[in-house]
Amino acid sequence: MAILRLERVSKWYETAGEPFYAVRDVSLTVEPGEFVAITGPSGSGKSTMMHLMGLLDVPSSGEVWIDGVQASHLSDRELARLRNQKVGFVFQSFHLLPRTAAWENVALPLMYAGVRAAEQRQRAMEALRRVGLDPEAKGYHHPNQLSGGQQQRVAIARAIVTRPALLLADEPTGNLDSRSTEEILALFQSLNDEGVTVVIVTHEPYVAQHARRVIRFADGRIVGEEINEHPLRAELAEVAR
Amino acid sequence: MNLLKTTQTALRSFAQNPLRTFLTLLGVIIGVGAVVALMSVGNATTASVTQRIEGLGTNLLVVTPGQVTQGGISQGLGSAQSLTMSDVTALQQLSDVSAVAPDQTTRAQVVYGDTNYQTTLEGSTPDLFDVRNLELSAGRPFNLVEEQNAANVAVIGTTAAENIFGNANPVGRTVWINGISFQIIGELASQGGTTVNDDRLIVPLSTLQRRFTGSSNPSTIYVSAVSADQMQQAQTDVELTLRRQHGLSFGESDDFVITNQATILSTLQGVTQALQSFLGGIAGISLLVGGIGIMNIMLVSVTERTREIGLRKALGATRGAILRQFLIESGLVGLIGGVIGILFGWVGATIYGRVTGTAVTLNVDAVWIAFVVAVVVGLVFGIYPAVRASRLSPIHALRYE
Repeated sequence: MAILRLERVSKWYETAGEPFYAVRDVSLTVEPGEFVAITGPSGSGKSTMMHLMGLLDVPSSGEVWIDGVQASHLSDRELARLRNQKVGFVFQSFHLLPRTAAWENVALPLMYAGVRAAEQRQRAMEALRRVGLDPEAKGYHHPNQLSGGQQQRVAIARAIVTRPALLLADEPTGNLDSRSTEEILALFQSLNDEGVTVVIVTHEPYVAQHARRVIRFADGRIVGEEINEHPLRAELAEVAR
Repeated sequence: MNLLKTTQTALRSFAQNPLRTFLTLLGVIIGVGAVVALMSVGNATTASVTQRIEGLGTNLLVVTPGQVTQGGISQGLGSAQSLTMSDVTALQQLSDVSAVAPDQTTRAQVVYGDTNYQTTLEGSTPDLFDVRNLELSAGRPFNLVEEQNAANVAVIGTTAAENIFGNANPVGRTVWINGISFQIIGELASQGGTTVNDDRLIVPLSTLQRRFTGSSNPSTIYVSAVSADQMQQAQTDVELTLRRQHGLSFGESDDFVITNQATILSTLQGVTQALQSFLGGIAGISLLVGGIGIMNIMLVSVTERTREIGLRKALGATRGAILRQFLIESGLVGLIGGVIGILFGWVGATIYGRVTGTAVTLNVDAVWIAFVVAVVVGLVFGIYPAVRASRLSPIHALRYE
């Protein structure tokens, strides 16, 4: 069963009576364990795609299934629950809560999932270890005490802490230097090796080259799709495990 | 989403902006503090007024002469010489009256050594001490024998004693009043309240009438009812007796006035209570203004934290969870402000008590009411900002810069 299925999905906005299509009639299926990159110039609709896939936005028409659940007509409450359990988000600007310890940032989705406090802490620490941060050394740091790469790793830990079916990343390396970019890409690849489905939205060809499947967007439509038989491997010893 | 965690989050957001948090709290603190202080002071004032009036005597009725009209000109209350000693005798026969004390006052010059002091000279019977609840701090009151013999003895008030004798014990000393020698046999305990009651000398009524005023008509008759329940009945009986005594026929108005202590008490209590609710109302308005302050700041906070709200929604926070988070925050402002306000109100009321010498006790009802109202104000004025926060769309919120 597909992790993600979009069936003739469109998203439009009414501007001065004229509908503006951000996404037009897109169908797409992502299978478990895939590593997909969605690329395209800015304004091509790829960010809207990511919002639709992550259930942050509802389509104007068409259907979205996530892990077998049809999500297009769910209530706000049920959508929040699905987001919490099925999707992990990674954002370009990290979106970590300031003045809040790294582990507490990671534990945030668990809080909304209703996990017990003791278990929250333990799972958050586990997730931090998985993304290559020493929970004892960095777990109590506030975001402003961490480097950009470390902050994004905390954000990834937060995305995987609920063990979601799908990891959605929106320009995850957009705010990082090349060294940190390598680290983060290596981390995504190693998570994918463990079976996590990863979808990265990016406008950087270099980042897209790390995906097995690349989908090109322009003017709200899919204009091309290719399979990358030999994706680039980002390897960094310190991140590997 | 547990309560503890949300409270922790709220407290953290307070700590992020201490000045703003303080200013928000200030509105609530002032409101609650004002309510608690004013209600406590109001209670204390009512209690002290009550105590003073009760201190005038026990189940007291005060009879004074009414108005006379002389050649078409009204002479004002108390101008008539309508009360007589036979009225006193008649009143003493009433079954619901326990004691009757006729009373007459004049001004007199008291001389002791080279001290020359102008004060009030009051003449009455020994019953006065019971009827008016007069306690003696030293010596004894004059007795019936001294009253009957018009003895030259006097009981002195504390203010008069201080002015004449300084700190020396006045009992046993002899003073000259308008050239007649009097022995001081007792000193009154301080009456508190107005010092007028302490600035006087009390002598037997017969002595006063014979040596000073020459009039046998008392200017006031103090009547003590048997019990509080019987005060109304006693007042009616006193009125009927005096009308009969004065030969007033049906339809003629009274030539005397009866003042009922209970009536004065309830009137004054009514006044202080009205004043208290008025002050409480003003304090309540300031609490309302504090609530609007909370709403204002919460709206700013929601705008500032738009991205945070978007993130929380992306991570699985429902509208309800966001709503709760902001409601707990505004409720906490009310709660913390309420607690601090109660402390300030208590301190304020205590200081007022110290300065004015009133025994101020914390009004427990006011504390509860103010506290609950503060929390409710916090919650109510937090609703609109919280609803706004919960309705933010996650994508717009995440993009917000």
